[in-house]
Amino acid sequence: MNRRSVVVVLCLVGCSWRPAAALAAVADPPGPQRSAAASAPQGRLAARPTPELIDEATGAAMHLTRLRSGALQVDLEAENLEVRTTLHPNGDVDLTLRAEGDSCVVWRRGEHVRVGRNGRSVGFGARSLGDGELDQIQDVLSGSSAIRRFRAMKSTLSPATRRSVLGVSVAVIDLLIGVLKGEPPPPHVDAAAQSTSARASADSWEGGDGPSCFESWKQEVVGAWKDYEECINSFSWYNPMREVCAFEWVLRVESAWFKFLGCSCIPMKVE
Amino acid sequence: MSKATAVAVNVLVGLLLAGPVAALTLVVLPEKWRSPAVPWAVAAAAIALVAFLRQPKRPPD
Repeated sequence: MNRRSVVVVLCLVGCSWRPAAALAAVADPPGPQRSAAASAPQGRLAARPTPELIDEATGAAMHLTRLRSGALQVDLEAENLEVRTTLHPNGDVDLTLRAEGDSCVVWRRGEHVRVGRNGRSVGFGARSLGDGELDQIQDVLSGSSAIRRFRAMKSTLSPATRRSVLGVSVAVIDLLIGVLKGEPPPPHVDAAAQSTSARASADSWEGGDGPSCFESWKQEVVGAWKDYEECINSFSWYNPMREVCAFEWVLRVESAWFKFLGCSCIPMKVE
Repeated sequence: MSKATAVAVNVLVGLLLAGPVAALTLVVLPEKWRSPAVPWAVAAAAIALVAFLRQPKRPPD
């Protein structure tokens, strides 16, 4: 198996697990954080995966949905561009890019991968991608306006979008397209993806492009206070459950506080 | 308890107390006064308070 084959397999696997992790987090958020997300929508959304996202720079709308079959679907709509990726539970992948009558399709079934565009298609084994197949693939994909628009859109995504899970999915799609078009895979792909994931999970820090540590802490604290108010207002004054509300608030602000301290003092940890 | 240990305890306890206090301070303060200096000031005050309260008492003369 040559290096390009390894990268193709990694891309397809990467397409599968990143949005899966996102949907898992979206479908089952921690209990105390649900109302906070509703009351302070900007509080942790920069750090948490989100099923819907509109990029500020390009206006591209991204949407993550789970299908009845259990597959995950990432939809992206930008100006004159539609991208849809369907990730099946068994690891199969469907990728479609459409723009102005140009339609590119990449799908994987088991070890078989097929790349098509406007009625022409090339099939090959995911573990046996050779120069001959690459030449045919590039012949099929050359001059694709859908790919050109997609890559132009991807290159102008805002930094906040790039750090989101949907943004990482776009980056993985771009990497897959790059490999299929014969471009050498960047050596820092894995490191960049891990760095992006670490940033997303640990919030951004002072000097980064996202919200600062203080902003994240402030939003968390304000959201926790709003939740606390809602919580105590939902119980009568003699109900001991009010103490649970206070306990939950203390836990949340302590958690946010030490997260803030770590974010401010140990930036190398999240970088 | 050595002095270094005492200082470490003061800092840790102060930081632990500073979390809720800083959160309450932030909620109470008006928006224009909510700056990054607020949590650090609260943390410093909390550590100083803990250090003051935990300092050994001098025996009465």
